[in-house]
Amino acid sequence: MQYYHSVRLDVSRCIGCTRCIKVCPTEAIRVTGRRSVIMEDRCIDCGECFRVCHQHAWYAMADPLERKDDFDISIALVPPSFYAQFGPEVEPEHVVSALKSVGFTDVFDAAYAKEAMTRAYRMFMKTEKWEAPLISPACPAVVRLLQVSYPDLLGHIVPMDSPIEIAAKMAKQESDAWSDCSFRRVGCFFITPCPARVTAIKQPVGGRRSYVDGAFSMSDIFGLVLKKLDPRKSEKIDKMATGSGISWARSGGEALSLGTKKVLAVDGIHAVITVLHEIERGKLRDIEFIEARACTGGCIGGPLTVENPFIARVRNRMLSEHRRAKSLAVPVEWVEENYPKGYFHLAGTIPPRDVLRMDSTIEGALDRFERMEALLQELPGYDCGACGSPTCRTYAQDVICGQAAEGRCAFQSQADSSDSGERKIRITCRQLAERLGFEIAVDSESLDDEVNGCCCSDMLSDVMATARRGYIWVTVQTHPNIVAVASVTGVSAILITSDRKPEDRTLVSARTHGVSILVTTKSSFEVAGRLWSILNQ
Amino acid sequence: MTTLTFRVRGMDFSNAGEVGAKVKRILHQIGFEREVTRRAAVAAYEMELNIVIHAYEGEVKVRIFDTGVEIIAEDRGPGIPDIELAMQEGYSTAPPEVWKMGFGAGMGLPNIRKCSDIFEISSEVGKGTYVRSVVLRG
Repeated sequence: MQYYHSVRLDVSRCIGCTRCIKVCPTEAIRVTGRRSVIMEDRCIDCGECFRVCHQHAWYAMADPLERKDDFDISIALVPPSFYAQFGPEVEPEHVVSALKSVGFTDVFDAAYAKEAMTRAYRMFMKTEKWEAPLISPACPAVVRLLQVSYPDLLGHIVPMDSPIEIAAKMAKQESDAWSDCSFRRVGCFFITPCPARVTAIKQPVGGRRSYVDGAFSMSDIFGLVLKKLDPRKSEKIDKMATGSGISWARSGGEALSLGTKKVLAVDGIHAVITVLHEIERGKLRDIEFIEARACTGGCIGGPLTVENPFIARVRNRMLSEHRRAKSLAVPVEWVEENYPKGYFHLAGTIPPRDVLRMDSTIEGALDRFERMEALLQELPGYDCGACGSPTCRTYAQDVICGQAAEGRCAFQSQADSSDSGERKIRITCRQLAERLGFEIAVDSESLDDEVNGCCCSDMLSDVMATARRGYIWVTVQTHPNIVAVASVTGVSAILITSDRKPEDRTLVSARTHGVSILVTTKSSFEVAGRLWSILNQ
Repeated sequence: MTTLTFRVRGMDFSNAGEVGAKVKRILHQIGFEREVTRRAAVAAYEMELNIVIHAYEGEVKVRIFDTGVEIIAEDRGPGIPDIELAMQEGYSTAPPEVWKMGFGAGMGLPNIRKCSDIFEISSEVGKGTYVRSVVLRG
């Protein structure tokens, strides 16, 4: 299946820094050939990559404003998060008027549709069979996250369309009602705070076409509206939400609107994952409804917003408190009439994306899984991302599934260079001592071993961790303990630098344990440099 | 065949459920049928929780074959004096503080049996308990 994505990469700007691969909640990004590459089937268009990219290589693809001119009537669907972008003196009515000056024929308040959703949720919970906890269908990035990473939880999503789809449906029907020429083309355009909504409009889950005809980036529309704002021009729309619908823009608003205490609101995609994890672990059965938002703070924290989300939150709260009403703007009769007709229900089911499978057959997958576990044992577990995969585990999986080359781990290749036989030069410890003028303090058999590496450290525990058989250990330590370390690690020789003299007890112990000791007047730094250049010739 | 071993500590509620979730994820990766995955994950989860709630420490061993999954839980703990009673739905010896956390409904062992194609349990009072569950594909 081909996936549409609104989050895109400008390859010419990407430097392959790996910042984005670490924040991607579905591990959808890899760095290969010094640039990021996205795995289309895993991307959920949440825009996390976009937020952390210093190069501005990631961007969100929305529609150009001219798209509205393809329609005879263009309706702007305004979410309550848009009102929160402006100062406290700007009322929604001013924004409506400015949007019309920008060129929209009409404006529809999306928060009004959110209130219809609130009523529809209540009807759903009262009349249908469902398994707790229900998960809100409102955030498109969260819905896609479930498709990719939590397919077993898809059944918890309220099987309804998103409030934006409902808003477009309502706007179009209303427009048909008042427009005398129904043959004219009506286009609905959403002013979006996030790229995920753009994707949801271009490619709705379940496969049906969206009621929304285009999405404009909130940051693009913001500037245009700002220029047209005029304190003397304000226009009322009759289907305007009360405080309840307006509060959906911030985290917690949707959950609160349900009027039950058994709700949970979580925002920020990584926080959402922790909650989904809890549901997978069989918890939260006492919660009826979960409002999950990919963006921190809710929609006001969307990647395409302009205002600081904490400031926007205050504005949104003040507006919703100011417009608080006893009952919702949407008449209960309207919802009761339309709900049974399936007005709110999703046409199809939300399918899982099935990206977790390692192979098309069970046997193949088992084999791959085993090999992955084996490879994982060799990796350091630092999850540094230098190989281009976000974690050691994903790297192991990428290698086994043929999606990444072996040997990209900086730490694994260092540790293995001694065994891999890639070294070009073959030289014994004695030959090295002669060549670099090291004095032999204790001569034992191991001096005739071939040197295959070097460990340069004065911290014994570090040596214990990194030195191997066939190494030369470069140190300034002279006490007898170094012999024990040398004999445990099996190094070919200890090289004592900076003209330090081994203690007598050290020499005696070395002779009894068959450990070779070399000494030099040169510093560890110089010796390490010389050894490096010889061993890597 | 792949073997995975998970160590579980008694009363370690902060990590409880981890084994079940991991088993589920791995079986998804391997591509087992949803129903098989669900049953194996529930069995693993309940065994893990039994160790957390009742035992001092234990191990959940998961062996994955192309034909199904075998899960074995072995613990060092108080053991079960009357297995027949413990197998009854709703019977629980979990302490009240555990009920408060939403566990200990007495459904653990019956749940494992319900999910298993082969189910075995043995226990020695004062020593520990052994539970084996096999979930077969198709």
